[in-house]
Amino acid sequence: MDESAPSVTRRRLLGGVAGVGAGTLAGCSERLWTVAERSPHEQVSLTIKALPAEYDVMAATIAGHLETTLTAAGIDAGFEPIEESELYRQTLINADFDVFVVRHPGYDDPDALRGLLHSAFINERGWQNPFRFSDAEVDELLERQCESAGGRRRTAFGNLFSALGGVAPFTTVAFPDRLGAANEGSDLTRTPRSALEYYELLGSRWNTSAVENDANGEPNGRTLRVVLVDQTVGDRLNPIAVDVRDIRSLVGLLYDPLVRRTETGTVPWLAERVEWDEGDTLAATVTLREGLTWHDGLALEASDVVFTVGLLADTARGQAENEIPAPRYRERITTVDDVAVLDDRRVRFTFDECARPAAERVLTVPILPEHVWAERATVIDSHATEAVRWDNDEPVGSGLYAFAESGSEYVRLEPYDDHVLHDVDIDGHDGVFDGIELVEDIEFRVTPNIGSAIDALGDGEFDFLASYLTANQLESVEEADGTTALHSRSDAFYMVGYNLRHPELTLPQFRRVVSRLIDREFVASEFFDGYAQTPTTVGELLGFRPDSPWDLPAVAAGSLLEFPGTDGEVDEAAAHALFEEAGYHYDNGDLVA
Amino acid sequence: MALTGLVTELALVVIPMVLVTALVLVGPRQLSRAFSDFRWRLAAISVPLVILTLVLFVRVSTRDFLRELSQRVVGTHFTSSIVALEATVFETNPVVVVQSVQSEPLTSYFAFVYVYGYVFLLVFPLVAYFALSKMDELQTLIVAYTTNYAIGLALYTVFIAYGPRNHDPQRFEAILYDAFPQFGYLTHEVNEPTNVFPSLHTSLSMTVLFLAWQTRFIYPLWVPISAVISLSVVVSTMYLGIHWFSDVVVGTLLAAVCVSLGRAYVRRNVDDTLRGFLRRNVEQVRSSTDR
Repeated sequence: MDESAPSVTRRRLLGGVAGVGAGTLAGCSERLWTVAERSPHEQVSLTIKALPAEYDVMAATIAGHLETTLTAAGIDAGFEPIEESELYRQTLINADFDVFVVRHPGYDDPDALRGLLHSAFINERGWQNPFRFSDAEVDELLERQCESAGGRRRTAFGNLFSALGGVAPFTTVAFPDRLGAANEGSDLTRTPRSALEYYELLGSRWNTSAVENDANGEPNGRTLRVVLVDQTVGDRLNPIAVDVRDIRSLVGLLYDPLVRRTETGTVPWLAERVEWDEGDTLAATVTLREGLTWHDGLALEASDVVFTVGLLADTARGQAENEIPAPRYRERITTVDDVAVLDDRRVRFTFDECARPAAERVLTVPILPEHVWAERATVIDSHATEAVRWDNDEPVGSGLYAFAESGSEYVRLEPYDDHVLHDVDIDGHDGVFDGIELVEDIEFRVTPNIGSAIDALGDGEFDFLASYLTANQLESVEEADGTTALHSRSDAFYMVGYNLRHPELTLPQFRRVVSRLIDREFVASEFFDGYAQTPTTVGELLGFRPDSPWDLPAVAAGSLLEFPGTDGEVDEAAAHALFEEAGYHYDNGDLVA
Repeated sequence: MALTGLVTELALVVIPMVLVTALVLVGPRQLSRAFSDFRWRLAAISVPLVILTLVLFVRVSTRDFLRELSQRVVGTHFTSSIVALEATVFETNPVVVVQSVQSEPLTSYFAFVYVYGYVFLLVFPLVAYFALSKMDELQTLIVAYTTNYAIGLALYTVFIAYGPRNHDPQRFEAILYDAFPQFGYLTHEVNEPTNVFPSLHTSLSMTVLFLAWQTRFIYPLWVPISAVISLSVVVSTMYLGIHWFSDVVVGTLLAAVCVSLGRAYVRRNVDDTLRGFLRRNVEQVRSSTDR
């Protein structure tokens, strides 16, 4: 049907509009007629969606770079900036995109790739296969890595990388460093990202700073003041939704998992211990700590753990015709065959064919209170339930921090004094809580832009900035009075994702050329000013950092990284040759499908 | 905080500007006469003022609703279309051309004009037309302001677009907030970053300029003064990276439409019609409650 009725391409439509609307503009008419007189054709068109520059300078810069190089290659390319929660709604929920550029927070485990790429998730929402990618060989290898550990898992990844090299539905542009800023007096050396890093920071502030005692000998409440650049914060604090602003550190502080991952291994958190049974079928018995409570005072029991796993698998809780899985954390629980309550404090997980590295991921999902979420199962449509639409603007969690209050421009958390971890030493993990007293509130507050955030930091209104900076902005932090520039590593990477329902992007050979039209070296040296690493292997192109802790095999990227041009400028002839090799041709300089 | 400080500063700069200009252009005697018998003047502009208040009220009370309606239902993401349209018309995007002549004094000038000059430009004619012996001009002005704002908001709901400062930073610069980040608090409070197409800075400034021309025989000096400021405001929106050329063009068209609407309001005695309508309704309500 599409073939018999050629659609009007944007450029032709705009040419027409321009002809009527702007024909009176002197000096432009000649150019106008050349555009209008072009022969009818179907130029390939791609819209690139990313955050606007004020909220992610580098994403907008990469999108702009891609727009320029794709245009030079004859594609009708346009960059469409979109606000954060709306961007995720369009790309991750509605699949309404061609190409997106996002800062991906990084993987918790190599098994995360299974969530991104396995075809079993093709009809799910959220970070589960948002590209609609499907490849039988890749599926099989993703399953094999899940089922294996050690050398066998490494081999599976080697094969997986070889299989994905030329067909991956996304590519990595760069691994940025974490650039941030703090008030000079705050003694920060890095921007805290995870809940654990917040605890460490608060603990060291407790040790080094003079938190005064009040008349009763109780420590006087102070506040850790965090500034971020955004329009609002705290209007939507749903831990399982994806169409939200980046609230990961908030969620981590409010909601505890069974175990937390650190750079040096896992720390039992709500779990007192986890006993693994690696017999014929993998199983784990989790024993919860004694006396756990939710922030509203009710007891946190084994049934909450079972409930959470069930909710992530089906937020409709059996009330819809089909399951409606959560758009976040979903793939971490797909390894679970069964989860059962043994008693108030004990839960037993049995796993499908799956080895420990991937299976352990289920222990890291935030545990949600059944008495709050059970009533959120109302089905809204075939892909959404109240649980994922709900704002959850007064969250009830079980973390060391509890929600205190919020306005449109701030969220305030207060220490949760009844948390059992205040009185428990974590075995084998000395130092996590040694000497830490969490007495300070934490307040997250928005400012309109980086410049005003830096001014406010210098004036001592805030302790540190949670938003990330560019190299230029880092320089102005260094020059400003009263501020310290922070430079640390990060797990994040800039991802360019493709929608495989697009008629051209569905073809691997087309995606391969598009992925090559990013001059990664130029991006890292010029845009990131050296504060970023570039991918050099297939694994790195898939988002695994060169310094990742997982010892994955290095599969050469070959021509995948060869940019057809120099210094960010596309050599048009070379780019055209690449697309022609891929089976496309050109009409008047336009890439034609 | 930062916002209150900025508003105070704005008032401290603009009020003296308005006072001095009014003393020179209108004259102290006419001013004092106008303010001593302000009652009938206020009565004469009460209907346009009520409509303006209504529009502002609707705007404030439906801010979240309009955002949702726009994002989820009626809105089209429009930034790439604007850029593509301008790319077919111009070799180089006009914002790039304007920003290529950057210098520190120019940046300070345009930032001053964009914030202070603009507010002065909008406030002064309110005072000047208030001092006239007939309220026709003031009615026209308020109706034009109101329709500008109302139509502008409707267009913002339909067209979701970001300005040059939010597009590719390698091509377009966010000059205003790079140089004067504190102004972000002001715009953050009154505006959304997607309220770009059309430029209300342009349309309201051009409205003032068009009306200045209409009243050139009463306030001849106001024509060159408002011309310099309003055209500077128009250029500043592009120079500072806030608006596209298309926003400016449509903003100017919107100004022309709103000025004619304001003039029609006066010429066709819409004011009397509305008053009659209101009176009848009030009487009806009264008689029904009497019964």
